[in-house]
Amino acid sequence: MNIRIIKIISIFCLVVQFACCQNQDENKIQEILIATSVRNNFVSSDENADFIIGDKKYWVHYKVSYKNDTLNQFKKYLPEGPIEYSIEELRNDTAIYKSLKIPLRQNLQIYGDALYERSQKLDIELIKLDEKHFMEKNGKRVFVIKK
Amino acid sequence: MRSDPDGALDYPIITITKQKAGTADQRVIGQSSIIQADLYKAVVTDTEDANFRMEFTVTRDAWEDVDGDGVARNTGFEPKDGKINHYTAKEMPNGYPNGNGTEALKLTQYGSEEVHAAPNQTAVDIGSRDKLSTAKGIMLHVGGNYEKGGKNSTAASLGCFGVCNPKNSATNQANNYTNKVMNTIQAQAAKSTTNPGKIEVIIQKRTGNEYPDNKNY
Repeated sequence: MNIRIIKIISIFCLVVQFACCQNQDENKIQEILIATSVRNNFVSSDENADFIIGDKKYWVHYKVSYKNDTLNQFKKYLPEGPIEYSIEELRNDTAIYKSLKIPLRQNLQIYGDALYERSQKLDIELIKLDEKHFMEKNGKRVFVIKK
Repeated sequence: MRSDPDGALDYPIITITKQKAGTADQRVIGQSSIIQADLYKAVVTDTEDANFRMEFTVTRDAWEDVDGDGVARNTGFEPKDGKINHYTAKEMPNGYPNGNGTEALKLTQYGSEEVHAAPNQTAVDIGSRDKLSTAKGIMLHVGGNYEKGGKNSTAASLGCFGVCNPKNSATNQANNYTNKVMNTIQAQAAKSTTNPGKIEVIIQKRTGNEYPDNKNY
């Protein structure tokens, strides 16, 4: 009888652990847009995407995409069109993305109201605007997160 | 006559001067308006080939009016130190704009495209720079009016140098001029026996009134 109870508890623990892992995977970030707020009369060129949250307009500066836990696309938006960096370029010149606090490996997760690294809090503190949009606490940047 | 007998400096050197040489159209970042940006003379020499000399013109200022208050502010790139103003230019593999058939070069310093720059708070405020005194992705690319996707486009800048023909207009676009300049520099670099492919860029730093901070347009 006791062995049976232990078995049931073990299976229950495994199921809970599996569910937690699933939940963590769902929270993994696939794409991040880094933007700044601009006045509504801001005119974007075709190549410099903008978007609106509520009644505020934002101007996109970077797009970071992850695939299979690894950064696979990094774009910097400039007035005549984006520059897309190869992974090799990013490995050879980490200064291109380092100051953005965006790691080469996808180890960012959303917990509660903020965006954290798996092991520690990022230097930048983010305020959650809604499910997809986070804003830098002491800055102007907005992070648009696609999971 | 060879001016560099030990071969340590055998490559083309582009010097972007402070000498004005006309004006060109530039799109104001954040607006659909066009502003007149000064053109500056750039000189290309080659220590391996004393007979080689080429001149062309570029824009240096980068006008933005993200606030939309009618005053354009300059986010143009200047070296942080007027004496540490040498950069190595790397070829953009697909040109710039990407795939447009217009050749472009990107500045690097100490092996990185993050280069020391004169501080520019405006550039930080509008999000084009992450740090006050460094800049990234600074290129020499087509400027003024140029053809893009079969249409005329007027180049804007967030710190890049716009290669632009004198008397540039929607009917006298900069594409061919830019490619001729870039191809000549690249061919000259390829000819080097000691440093094939290397291109150096020297930017004469503008100081005081030489650097316009803002402009009504």
